[in-house]
Amino acid sequence: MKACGFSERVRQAASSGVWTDELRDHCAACEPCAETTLVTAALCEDAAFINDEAPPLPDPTVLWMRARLERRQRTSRRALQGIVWAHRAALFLAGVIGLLLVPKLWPMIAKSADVVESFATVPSLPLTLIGPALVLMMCFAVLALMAIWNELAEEH
Amino acid sequence: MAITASETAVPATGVRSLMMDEAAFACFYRRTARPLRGFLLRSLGDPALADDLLQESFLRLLRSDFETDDEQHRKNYLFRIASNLVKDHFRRRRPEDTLSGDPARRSPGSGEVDLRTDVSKALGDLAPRDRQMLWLAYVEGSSHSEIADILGLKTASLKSMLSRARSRLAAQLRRLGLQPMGRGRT
Repeated sequence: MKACGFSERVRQAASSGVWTDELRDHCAACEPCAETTLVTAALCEDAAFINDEAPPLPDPTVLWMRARLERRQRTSRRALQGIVWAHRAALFLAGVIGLLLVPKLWPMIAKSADVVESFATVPSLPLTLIGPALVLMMCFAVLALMAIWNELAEEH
Repeated sequence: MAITASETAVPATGVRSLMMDEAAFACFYRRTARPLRGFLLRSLGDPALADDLLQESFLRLLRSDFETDDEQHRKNYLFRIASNLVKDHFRRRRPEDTLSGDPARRSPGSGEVDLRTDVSKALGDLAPRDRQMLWLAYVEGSSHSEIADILGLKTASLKSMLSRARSRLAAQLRRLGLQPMGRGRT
């Protein structure tokens, strides 16, 4: 499609409604400019119609505050990232150490189970306490797993 | 009046990209929100969706690290964000929604402004990208390179695409009985 040198002037005239005789004569003879005139006038009229009919715009202050809030949340999340990873590493290390210690502690655990089963007597009281201590440790382990789960869920 | 980048708008927490202060943003918003709403409304054909994407466009502009003192440049960037949102919307849209997004094919009872004008009917027969091109060229007065930048097209191919879209819309408008202003009636 060949470009017409008048097209920008025609567009401006059609949009503003200010025509010169030269442009009017040109449009009568130039098909692309006639199309430009028709399309520009129609679209500008439509734009004016939209502006008149449209409901009020949302308050820019709300958008500004929302963007600022999101920005702050993102910044604080980024700042906490290091702490979160250190926390995770510590939990992982604790888990690994715990697993490494299980074989060494196993005889003691087995013994404590025996004691609990045989209704311990007063002299063997320290051994009977190993049972509740184990339950407590299990609780802490469950809580640690829940904390990790919570962090992962928050991240996603 | 050009919007100035304000260093005082940078909070101590390191929030760097909100380069406009609140007053400058409000000023920019007042100047660009209505044109952008028109652009979105005629691209999407759905006033509620257009308003949603309008807010999302401004939010994305504020979230971005885009910094400039040139208001026109910022406006073009805003329109590019909006155009990408429109593109995403049409990409995500399910096949059964195809007709509902078209301004010309909405049911008369939908209560929206689109069917009230002949222009919206004529625009509804065009592809969303053609509507966007025409709106930017003939309402916003954007240059070919600006339109290409906003819509992610090549400037060289844009000229012929715009010309074809203009011819299609002009034919539709003539079919509806509208005549060019320079030749008599608007």
